[in-house]
Amino acid sequence: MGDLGPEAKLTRFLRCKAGQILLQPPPYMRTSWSFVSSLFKSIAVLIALLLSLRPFSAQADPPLDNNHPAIRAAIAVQDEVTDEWMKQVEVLGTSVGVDNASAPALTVYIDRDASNAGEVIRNLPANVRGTAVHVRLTDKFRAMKGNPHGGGGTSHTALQTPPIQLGTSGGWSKDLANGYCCGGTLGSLVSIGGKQYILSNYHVFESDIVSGGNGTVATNGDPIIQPGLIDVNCTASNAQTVGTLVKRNSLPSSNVDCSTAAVVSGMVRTDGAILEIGTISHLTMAASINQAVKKSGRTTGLTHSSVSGLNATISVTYDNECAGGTAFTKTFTGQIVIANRGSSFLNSGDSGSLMVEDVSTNPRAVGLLFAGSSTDAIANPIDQVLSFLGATMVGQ
Amino acid sequence: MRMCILLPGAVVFFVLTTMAQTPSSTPKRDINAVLAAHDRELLAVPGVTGVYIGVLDDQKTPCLKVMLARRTPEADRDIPNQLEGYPVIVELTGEIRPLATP
Repeated sequence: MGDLGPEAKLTRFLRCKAGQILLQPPPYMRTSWSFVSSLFKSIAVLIALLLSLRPFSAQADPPLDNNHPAIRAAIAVQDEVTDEWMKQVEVLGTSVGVDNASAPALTVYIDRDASNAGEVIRNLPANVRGTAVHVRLTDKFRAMKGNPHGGGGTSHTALQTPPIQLGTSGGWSKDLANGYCCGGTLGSLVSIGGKQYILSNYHVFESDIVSGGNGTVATNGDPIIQPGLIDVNCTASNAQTVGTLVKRNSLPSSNVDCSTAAVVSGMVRTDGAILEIGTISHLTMAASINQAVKKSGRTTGLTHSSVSGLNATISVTYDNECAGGTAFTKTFTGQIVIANRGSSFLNSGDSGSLMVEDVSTNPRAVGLLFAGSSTDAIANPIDQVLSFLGATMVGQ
Repeated sequence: MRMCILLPGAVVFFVLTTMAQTPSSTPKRDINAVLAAHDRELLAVPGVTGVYIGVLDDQKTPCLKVMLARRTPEADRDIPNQLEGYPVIVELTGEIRPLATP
C-alpha cells in the first residue's frame, strides 16, 4: 500500500466497512481479531456518524450566492420592481445584497443631486414581501476609465509600506457613524514651525463635532490612518497610523477647509512625495483661467484638468459627522473653479488632494481641493491655506 | 449772434452723440468688483450655489458664471443676462458639496 494521506486512508476504511470486509488478519492477530474487529467497527460507526452530520451543517448555512433561497427571493422582488421604480429619473438602479445582519436586502440607488430625491425616498416601501428595501444616495453612474487605482496602475487605496507617499486614501480613525465609514485623501506635506504635518481637509479629519452616531468627536491626538476606513472595511486596525490629529478649526469661521496631522516619525516620506506626481516645489503659484492642473487623490487617482473660473463665491453644506445631519452652510469667497465634467477630475473621496500645476518636475502647488459636483471642482487657493496655518509646502 | 446759437447746439449734439455711441453694456469697472458687488444677491436666489469669474466659449472674453444646484422659477426670472456690461452665464452644476466619502 502506498503512502496515503489521512483522507484517503479513511475513505478506503469506510468503503471496506460498507462492504463488511475483508482483509484477512495476519496470523499473529487472529486470536484477538474479534476484539479488534469490534473496535474498528465502533470507530467506523462513530466516524460515519460524524461525517453524516457535515451535509446537514452545510445545508443549515449555505453561501449567500445567487442560489441561496433568500437571495433568489430578493432577486425576484428586484425583477418585479426595478423597471417600474426606474421610470423615476431619480432612481439610478437597484441591487441585491445583504444588510448589517447578513439578511438579503434590496438596495435602491438614488441620484443625490436630484431635487426630488427626498420625495422619491419617502415613497419607497420599507420592504417588499419581506425583503428589506435600503436607500443609497449616489452620484450618477458612469464608466470609470481604469480608475480608481490611478491610470498608471498605482493604487491610491492600498496599505503602503512606510514611509508612505501622499495622494493616498486616509482619514480620521474613528470616522464611522450612522452605518457608514468616511474618509478622504492625505494630500500633501507642510511644514509648520519646522515640524512636518499631513495636510488635508477639515471635513476629512475633524468635522465630527457631535457624539451622535458614534459616541465621540474628533479630538487632538486621535490617530490619522492610511488607508482610510472606507478602504479597510471600516476597521481601523487594518490600517496604519501615520499621523496624529492637530485640529485647526478652520471651519466654519475661516475661508479655507483645511486640517493637519502631525507626522508619526518614519511613517511619511519626509520629501513630501505624492503618488504619481513625485516631489513638488516648496513654492506656490496663483491660479489663472485655462491653467493646466493635476492632482493625485484617493478615488480618481492622478487626473488632469484646467482652471475654468476664479474668485468664486460658493455655498457648501457640511455634515456634523460621517453621514450625519447638517452642521452649517459655509459661503466661501475667492475660490478656484476647475472643470470636472462627469467628476472625471475630482470625486467623492478625493477631498484633501493637493492641486498643482501640470508640469512633470517639481510642480508648484495651486490649491487645496475640497468640494465639487459632477461638473465643477472647487479648491481653496493654496496661499490662503498656508497663510491660515502659518505653513510652507514641503518640497524642492 | 448766430455763433452763440450754434455753439451750444454743437455741444449738445456732441454730448448726445457720445452717449448714443456708448452702449449701456460696456463694462465700466473691474469684473472682480462687479462680482463682489453682486455675489450675495445672486446667491440669495433659490437654486444658486455659486458665482465666479470665467470666460465665454471663445476662451478669452470675461464673464460672470452663476452655478445652479437646480433650476427654479426664481433663477429663471431673477438672474440677469448681464451685469454692469459683463455677460452672465448660468450653469446647471448640481449642488457643490464636500468630497469626502461616502
